[in-house]
Amino acid sequence: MSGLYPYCVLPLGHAPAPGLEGLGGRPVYGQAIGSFTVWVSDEDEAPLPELDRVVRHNEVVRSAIDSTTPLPVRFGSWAPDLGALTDRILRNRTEIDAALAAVADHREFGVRVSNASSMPELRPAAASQEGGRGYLRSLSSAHATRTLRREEQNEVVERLRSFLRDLPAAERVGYLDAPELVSVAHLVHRDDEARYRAFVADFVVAAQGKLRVHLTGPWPPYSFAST
Amino acid sequence: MPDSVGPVSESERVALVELINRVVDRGVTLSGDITISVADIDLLHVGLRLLLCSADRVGQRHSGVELAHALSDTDEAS
Repeated sequence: MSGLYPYCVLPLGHAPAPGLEGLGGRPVYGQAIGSFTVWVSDEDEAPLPELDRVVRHNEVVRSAIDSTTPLPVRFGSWAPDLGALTDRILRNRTEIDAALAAVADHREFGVRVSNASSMPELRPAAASQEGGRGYLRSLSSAHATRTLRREEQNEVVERLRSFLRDLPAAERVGYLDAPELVSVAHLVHRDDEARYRAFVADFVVAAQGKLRVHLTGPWPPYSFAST
Repeated sequence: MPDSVGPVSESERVALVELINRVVDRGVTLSGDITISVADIDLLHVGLRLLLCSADRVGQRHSGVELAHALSDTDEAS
């Protein structure tokens, strides 16, 4: 018997559109488990993370967000049979219920910010031939560089928050390597999406070209789906 | 017929990076009897696999480095 590959968990009764294709072009169908419908396709083994599959996984989950808010399952989850999948879902049903309630009627957006000028990354001074003293100086310099960079990143996050005026229901901040600064995920109610976009546009204008800002979404609520 | 190969805009690159970060690194984690195929592979290997695939599909100089970079996002805060 084939194993199952789950894409997302939804409240019971939300079936995928007929003809929806999952990994390897296999049909996606809704599997009722307890009070949930899990979108799955048959899969003989856990898939390896190749780009085609990652993109297809997202397309399946994304197809659900026009009508409802699914709880995305992380790429690569795989159950050897329906019993194993049922066991894991039911064992976590309280957490899944809570997570579904938290994201209901919301979608995720991402704001990725980098410096517009490609300034060279600040790097700590290389340790010289001065032995221990040079090494300590190098450590101190590296620490100062990291502190300055984190201050700059937090400043950008705070500025963005001031423009969004508490509109997102939740936020998740990712700190990026230079020259990028931060990637911030926001959970936004469907009714607030136009205002959210306008607020982000205001943030971009106020940056006066000093920052590069990319707004992506709407996404299924990947960043807010931990159980 | 091979996929068309051409330059990828910065917006497309960012969208792809954001997609991969979400799909591979976030979402509900079902553990126990469920196998998570990326869990035991370090992210560098994930990045390399994606790199190999994207080199074929996207076929331009940014993709591999950027995808690997995408998977190296550092600490996060809620």
